[in-house]
Amino acid sequence: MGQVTWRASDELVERVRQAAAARARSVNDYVSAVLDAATDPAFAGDEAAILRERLARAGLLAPTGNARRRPPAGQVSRARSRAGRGTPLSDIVSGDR
Amino acid sequence: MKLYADEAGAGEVRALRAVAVSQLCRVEVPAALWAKQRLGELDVVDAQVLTAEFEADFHGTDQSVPRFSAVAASVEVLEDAARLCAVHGLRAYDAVQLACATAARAADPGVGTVAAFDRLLRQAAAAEGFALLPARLP
Repeated sequence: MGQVTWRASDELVERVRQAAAARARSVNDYVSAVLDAATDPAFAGDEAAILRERLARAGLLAPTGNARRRPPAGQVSRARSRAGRGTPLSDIVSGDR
Repeated sequence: MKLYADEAGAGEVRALRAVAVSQLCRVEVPAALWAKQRLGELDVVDAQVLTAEFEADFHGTDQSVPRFSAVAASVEVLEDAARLCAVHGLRAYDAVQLACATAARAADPGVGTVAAFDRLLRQAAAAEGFALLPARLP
């Protein structure tokens, strides 16, 4: 396990601390995840990451809550299929508005 | 919503690689799922599963970042939503949705399409210069 000393402005360090706290993660864990994503070729040019970054720069990206556990794919698939019957969800949303 | 039900148009929405949503959808999506359950069209377990799937998409998981980029309902967004109500005759939440799309486009010119299934919201989005998904309603 390597160790790096990182120099940055107090303002950036504080933002990183707050971003990590908002996700209930340690600063070390959060910085590792961000750097991993930034340097992983699999994420290169990822449209979603670009969009997220641009919204964040514009101050428009809403903070999210703690990470969740995704339910098993099979359960989701069956539930989606059953949810496709009857009143469309988009009609329910529209009616609520 | 099309991510959580096998409805017409679901395939097109699921194929999107980057999705910006209004912060309001954090409440709207579970509300719609539970409303469907109260209508007797979805059992409790399915509503729980789909809500959990949505929350994983919205908040992310330990293994993945959030699927959506949620646009904050900031003062500027709400001001623009009020303008859109006057210009297009939109309902409040529809106007906030469109204002979020407009704000997202200002931040990222790659944002050019609004996925919507409400006719008035679609008309307003088109008038604001967005492409529509689906291109035509069924």
